[in-house]
Amino acid sequence: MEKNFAFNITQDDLSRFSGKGPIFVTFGETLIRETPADFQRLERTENVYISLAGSELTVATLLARFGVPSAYITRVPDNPYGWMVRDTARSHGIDTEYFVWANKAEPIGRLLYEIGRTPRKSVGWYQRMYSAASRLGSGMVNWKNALRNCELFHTSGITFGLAYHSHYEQNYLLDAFYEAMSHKPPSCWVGLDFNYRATLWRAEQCREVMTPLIREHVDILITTIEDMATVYGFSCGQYSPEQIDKGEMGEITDNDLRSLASHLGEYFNAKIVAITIRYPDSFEENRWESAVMDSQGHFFRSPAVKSITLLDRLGGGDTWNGGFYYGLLTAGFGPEGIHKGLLVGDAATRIKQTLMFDLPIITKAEVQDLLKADVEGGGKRVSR
Amino acid sequence: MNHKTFYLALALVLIATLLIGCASAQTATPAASTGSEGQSAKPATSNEEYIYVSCMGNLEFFNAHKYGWKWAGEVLGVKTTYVGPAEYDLNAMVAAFDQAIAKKPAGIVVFAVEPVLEPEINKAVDNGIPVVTILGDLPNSKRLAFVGSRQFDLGYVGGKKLAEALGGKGKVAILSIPGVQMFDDREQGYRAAFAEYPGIEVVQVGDTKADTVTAINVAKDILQRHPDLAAFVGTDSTGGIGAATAVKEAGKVGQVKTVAMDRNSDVLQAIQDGILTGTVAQDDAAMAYWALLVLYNYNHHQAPLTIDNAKAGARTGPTTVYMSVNYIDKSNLQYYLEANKLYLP
Repeated sequence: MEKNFAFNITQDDLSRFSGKGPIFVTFGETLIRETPADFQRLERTENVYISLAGSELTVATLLARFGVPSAYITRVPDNPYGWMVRDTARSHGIDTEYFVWANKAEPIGRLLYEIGRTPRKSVGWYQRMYSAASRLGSGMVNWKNALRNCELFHTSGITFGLAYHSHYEQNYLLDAFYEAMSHKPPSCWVGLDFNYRATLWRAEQCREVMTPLIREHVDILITTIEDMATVYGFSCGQYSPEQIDKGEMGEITDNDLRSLASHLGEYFNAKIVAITIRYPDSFEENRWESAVMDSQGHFFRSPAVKSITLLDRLGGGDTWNGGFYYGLLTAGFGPEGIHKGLLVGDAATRIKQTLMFDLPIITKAEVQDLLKADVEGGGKRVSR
Repeated sequence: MNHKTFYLALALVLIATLLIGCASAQTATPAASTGSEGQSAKPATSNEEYIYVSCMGNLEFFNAHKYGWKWAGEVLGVKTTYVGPAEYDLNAMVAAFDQAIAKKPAGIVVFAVEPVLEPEINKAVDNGIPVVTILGDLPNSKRLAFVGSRQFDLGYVGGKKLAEALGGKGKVAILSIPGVQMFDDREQGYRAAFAEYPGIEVVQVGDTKADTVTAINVAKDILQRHPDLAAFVGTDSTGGIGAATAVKEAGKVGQVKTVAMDRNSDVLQAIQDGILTGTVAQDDAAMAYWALLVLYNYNHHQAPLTIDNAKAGARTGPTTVYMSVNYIDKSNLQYYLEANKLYLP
């Protein structure tokens, strides 16, 4: 058995982060998620759970909860929903100093979400056209101050698709991103989760925006085999984009993943390429693994494909991102940090997906216990 | 003892301590229990190790302590080591304490945060290792001395400064953690200062539960209940930042003054931004130095209270060292901000 239990994240010395302001900064949109609380269909429900959804806030939540000073930047209406986003972020220790406040009458993005049971699919409905966040543009954020000691800046591809979704002539968030890049310290790394959403924009629109953006600014690209096949027509080793699109992949070998990661690294000029792999066996059971390769050819893959009994899978990929970044920020952006990040990300997302709603309300101790149990066994009894 | 008398007494104690130290070194007293260096003027101590056992090392608050501890070792020519868990993990702290004892150091300084540490302190002392408590005290243990702030003074100094800023009048709310002795003492210090200004009225004490979000919400409630509130004070940094955030979001910056506690960078930044009026700072870096000095003097410069203090069972030297209290506002902010950068690990 491979000995991967090399870290004790509960004992990590994070004191070098203190007193500097945010070390991790991310920006994007947060959605108000409505999930039926009465087991009814969305159109019949009379009682919904209100929660928050959104890629970047989820990443920031994990990192802040794990002790990395983190800031989340968005634009929200000055009304109770906007306050909810701010207060929830704050409750996890996230710096909300750089929130941009819109008129109270501007809409906030929403996600209506019905959790599936096999064979009925989970279904999500976006209502994010013309949202306050989609109009976060240049000149609204003091990026110089926000990024003054930032070591890792993150965003997702979803963010840049919002303008297309609303049929804007101007991509405000793209402008804001380029403004941020002009103010970040030279040593600050930039990470991006590709996160293609066909409901927001078409593949060619996505390619047109994302390709130069990643090539020019992104150091860490996080993506999936499916997104790269759908948007770019890239194969994954032995598997063609058509096979990938139809879900007709068999066993994925190391060589398959090395081949894709190497190609992505060269194509996008990225220093680190991370690929997360979800095997959606049913709406109750998924399996999960990930692989990461850097530009020096260091390759890491999950020690095993692990099953997850789902309660709510949303936020799972973002939680992995947070765990991965935690490894990089605490053990460096080299092989040690990548290895640590992959293990922490895998464990964190496996725990998150057994919990309801997007945000990872999990602790370092839980993740550490799972890392330990994966190597040493045990960990199956009730903890009292 | 009022505060003036206290400071006078403290000054006399410190001067006396220094004089004793100097006299001891110059007159080469028997150095009762540690006479191995005999008549030499300056003991060879470069291999002597002193260990600071703490927890929550990830908090910025402890950066100054770490820096002060290292600096003190360099000043006194001894080896200093800082150990303990990054988080609030008492089991790990006890384990670190055990490991420290096993190294048989010349002395241990411990952040005596919980009574669970008392057996560890006693174990160290029983093994011949002197222990000084810092920041928090366990007076029933066998520790040699306590070095830290007098909590009442922290409140009193903040109260006086706020009263001056208010021109001696106005309604004030206190954000604290009622029921916790340390914070209750700080509140009493504030109240004692305000009592000297008949125009100042404490209208409410809010419980922040040491949580920033709670502090913000409590402060907002108070602002609604008392629209003519003139100021908040926080007995810890959470209360100060919470009040400042609430004031900012209510659009009352400049109208409602706020005095916080401690010198974390977020607090100093809020002063720079004009959101906080000021903050009360503990003598943190020096605290670590004085803790080491107490241990060092115990080992090398014991006054000749008897011809052999150890055999006589005679204790000498201070049992409590209260540190200075400072107030930070825009006039001196920059010096503290720069020091915080200096303290970064």
